[in-house]
Amino acid sequence: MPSNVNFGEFALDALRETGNIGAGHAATSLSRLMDRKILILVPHVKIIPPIKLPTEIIHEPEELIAGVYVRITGDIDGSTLFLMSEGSAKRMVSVLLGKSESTACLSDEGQHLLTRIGDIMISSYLDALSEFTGLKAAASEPSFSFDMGGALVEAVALELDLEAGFGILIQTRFIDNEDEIEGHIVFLPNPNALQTVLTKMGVH
Amino acid sequence: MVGELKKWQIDVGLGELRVSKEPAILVSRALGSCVAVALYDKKRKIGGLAHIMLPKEISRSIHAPGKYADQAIPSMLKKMKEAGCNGMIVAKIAGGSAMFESKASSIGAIGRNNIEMVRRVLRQMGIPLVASDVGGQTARSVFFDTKTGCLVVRLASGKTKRL
Repeated sequence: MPSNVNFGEFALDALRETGNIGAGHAATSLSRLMDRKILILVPHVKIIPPIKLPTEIIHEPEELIAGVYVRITGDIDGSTLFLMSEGSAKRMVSVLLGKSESTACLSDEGQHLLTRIGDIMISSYLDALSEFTGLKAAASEPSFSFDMGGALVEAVALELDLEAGFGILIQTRFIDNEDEIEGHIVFLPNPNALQTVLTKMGVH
Repeated sequence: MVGELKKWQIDVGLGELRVSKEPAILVSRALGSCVAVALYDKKRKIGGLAHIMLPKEISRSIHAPGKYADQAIPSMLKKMKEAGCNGMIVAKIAGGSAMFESKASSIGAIGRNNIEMVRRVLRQMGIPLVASDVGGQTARSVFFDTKTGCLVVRLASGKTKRL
């Protein structure tokens, strides 16, 4: 695929719709897990080359980011990341656990919670994608890291060859009473898998 | 060193390589599985830094001289010789960590493979590896001072190590 394909509004609509359905599933799971009403919105969905992902999500490569990585196998092959800025991650932990995180690092409890949230976000999105396309996808155990954002995104992009294919970036916004916290789902299908997904969605 | 010499900093981004015969701080930020290879000629005070992403080229790719270990190190050595190096050149390396580990994927192995290839190429080219800070699970930024040959490694926590 050339590097500047315009996938068109229809493809983006289909992907946005999948993102919304996934977010709905995730909100239900998360509300149940935390025993409170949590809403998740999907304001933006973008398709971009993986090489542009770091600058799209991260302002500065050394910026601290909490990331949950899940490898996807099956009909849809690829990798996914759920990313939150340091501020969002700490706010999420403090809102949901009712206690604030120290400035230096995340507590084990905080890391555990963020891993669960990332896993729920990713698997809900995958379920939605499977429902939409009829394609099967299996998710690996989640792996968590809280470190320089550039390093997290680079590791995942390199696994799949940075130049090849496209990444789908789904911006999510958690709403819990008056708090709004942002996170990103990054889905990096193997180069052929995105085409398969779009074809099944009826694009082209 | 890191702060006061900011004006001399030259960024060496993903897949890039730079050689400087002037006093400069060559900087590669947020290395995860990538490996920074610093070559230094102490006598001439010429230094080079490559921000290596993968062991070797496996598919078609954009041109990035520092991207692959097997191409980056010879090409950096050539540039250093063109810049006037004629004596002993030594290497220091940092990076190659596993930011994520997963049984279902090879993501944790990229860093290890990079380190292995860098070491092999250095050995083949007869360049002594005098210091390294590699592996583990943390990201690193590196600052290579071509005036002194010192490679400073900085972690996200702010902790630094001088190689």
